[in-house]
Amino acid sequence: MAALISLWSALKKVFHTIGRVMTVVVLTLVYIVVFLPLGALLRAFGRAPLQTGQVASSTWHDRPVEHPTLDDAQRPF
Amino acid sequence: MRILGVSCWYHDAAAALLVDGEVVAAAAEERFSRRKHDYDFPASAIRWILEFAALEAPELDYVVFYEKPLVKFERILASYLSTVPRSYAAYITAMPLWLRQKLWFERELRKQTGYRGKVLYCDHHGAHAASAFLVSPFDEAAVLTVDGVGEWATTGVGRGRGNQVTLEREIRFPHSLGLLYSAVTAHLGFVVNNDEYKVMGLASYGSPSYRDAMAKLIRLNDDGSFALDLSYFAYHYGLRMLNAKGEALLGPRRQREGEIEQRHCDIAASLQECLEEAVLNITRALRRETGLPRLCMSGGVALNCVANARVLMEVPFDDVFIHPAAGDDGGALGAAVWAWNQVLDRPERWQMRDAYLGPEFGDEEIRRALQAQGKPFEEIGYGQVPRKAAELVYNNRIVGWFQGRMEWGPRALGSRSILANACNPEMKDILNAKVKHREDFRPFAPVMPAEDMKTYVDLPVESPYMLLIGDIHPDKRHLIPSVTHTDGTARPQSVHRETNPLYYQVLREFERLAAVPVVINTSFNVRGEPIVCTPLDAFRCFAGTGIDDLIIGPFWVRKEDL
Repeated sequence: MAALISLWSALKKVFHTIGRVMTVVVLTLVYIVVFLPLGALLRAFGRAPLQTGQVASSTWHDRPVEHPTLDDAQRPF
Repeated sequence: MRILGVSCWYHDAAAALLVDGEVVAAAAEERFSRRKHDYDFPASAIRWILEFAALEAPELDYVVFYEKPLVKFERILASYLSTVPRSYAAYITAMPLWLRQKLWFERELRKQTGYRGKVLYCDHHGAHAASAFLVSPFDEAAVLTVDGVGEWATTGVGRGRGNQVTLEREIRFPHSLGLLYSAVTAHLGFVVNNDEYKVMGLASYGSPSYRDAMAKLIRLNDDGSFALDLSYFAYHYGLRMLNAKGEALLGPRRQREGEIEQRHCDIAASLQECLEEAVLNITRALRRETGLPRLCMSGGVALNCVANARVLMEVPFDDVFIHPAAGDDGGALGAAVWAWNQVLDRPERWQMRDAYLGPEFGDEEIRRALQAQGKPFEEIGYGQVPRKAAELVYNNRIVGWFQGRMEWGPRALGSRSILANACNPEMKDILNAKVKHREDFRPFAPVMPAEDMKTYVDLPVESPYMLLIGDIHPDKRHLIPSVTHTDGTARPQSVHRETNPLYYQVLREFERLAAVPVVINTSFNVRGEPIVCTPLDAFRCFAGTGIDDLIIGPFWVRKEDL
């Protein structure tokens, strides 16, 4: 039984490592295939969602005045 | 109606419970997990809160999270997209955590607690604003929230009236006062989201000779807003805060635990001045635009007591309320009161009169904890506790003070405190050598009765949560040298008899002996650890450090007896 438990612990470590490596591989592929071209396009057309260049003389943004309902409040967005 | 507010997964995870509009319990996870600034899901804090209120999770009516996770995720994706290919390192580090955990609050909540009811989401700065205004003593006030970043907002301004608080405008990421301060904190070799208060203390030892450099990092606008020059920063795409250009501007980065040079003090002083000017600029505009004479503040930047004091002294606000847990822990309480007052539109507001919202231990529990240590202790009774503590402090002994409910927020306010003699000029060094082992430049703070505060400190309002500094009157500095900072200031705590009678009595007993009602109050912990929570934590800290005596409930433990 002890040998099986040790084996299972060792296997879990191996699978965990494989999982971590695969996560990096998959996320890197997503970055290359989606983020790089989309980001480059957005920047090329001046539509990058994050403004990092020169900014206007005011950086205030109006916030919509909300009186949240219970339904609104249940949205995580 | 029972509403649980929760904050987690950035820093300072916490939970707070409202029962019929009253905040009955609130605590940060770090106090239970013993990991400072613990950001993990606050399972232990929630467990304690439910036990305290004799509730099971399914009996809660609502659970409210202090952020809108999808909006925050959108900001993070937008940052990565806008900064390809430099964003790869940050992306590959953060994304697994987001995909595995941070997007799934509801799943985690249900798994950890068994709660099956409705989950509400308050936006981050909305939670800060609620924690600032809705629990304040004011019927109407201007509201300012400033921190690193929430979803998109980094700063919010608005007003509160009755049971409603509204942020009308915001400044968005990547322009952030909190992140500016953190970036320079990291450059000075301190830990981001942990050591910013050290930079504030260090600033007193420098002169603002890096003012011109700071002016390159941030521009203040006439309407109160500000803009960072992002060509100096890396936090919006990378794992570092300043980029090479930023580091070149400020000179070589200090290594962690490296020697502190005058240059580092000057950078800290320049940063502090820059932050103060930015906060003053915002609050002046806010005062002008709202016309309201009172201000409520929250967000991590509102823990900067030097900036807070300048707002109070230089902007024509009559009074200021700052939530004692102004950082993300306070967001848990803010989210809960937001749900009660704003979403459910309940008119009754709970007013924060003190910060004693955490765990408390009965005499028998404490007795058992002490007996389990197998060391002698004496039961002196609560009637003798203040006098004994005062005598010990007067005799230059360092006293661990553990009484009543634990404080809410990062400051020890007389429930989990270390007390020492403020009149002894050597006491700062003694405390540092025997207990705190912290940097020499950091001052210790005084506690005094509220009615005596103006005798010692130049502050127009009370300071119950230690979030303001004031000048010690020059003719009093020699009386309390160990709490007078190098620039003549102190960060006092004012105490009322009604809010903490035992603690107040210690001050009066000390006054009887020393003719001064002022004592050092510092947090009951050692460097790098959270403040103690349980009697066992207190005993361990007492036994493992140079604390001379432990006064815990009605009991007295002497170091000589260990």
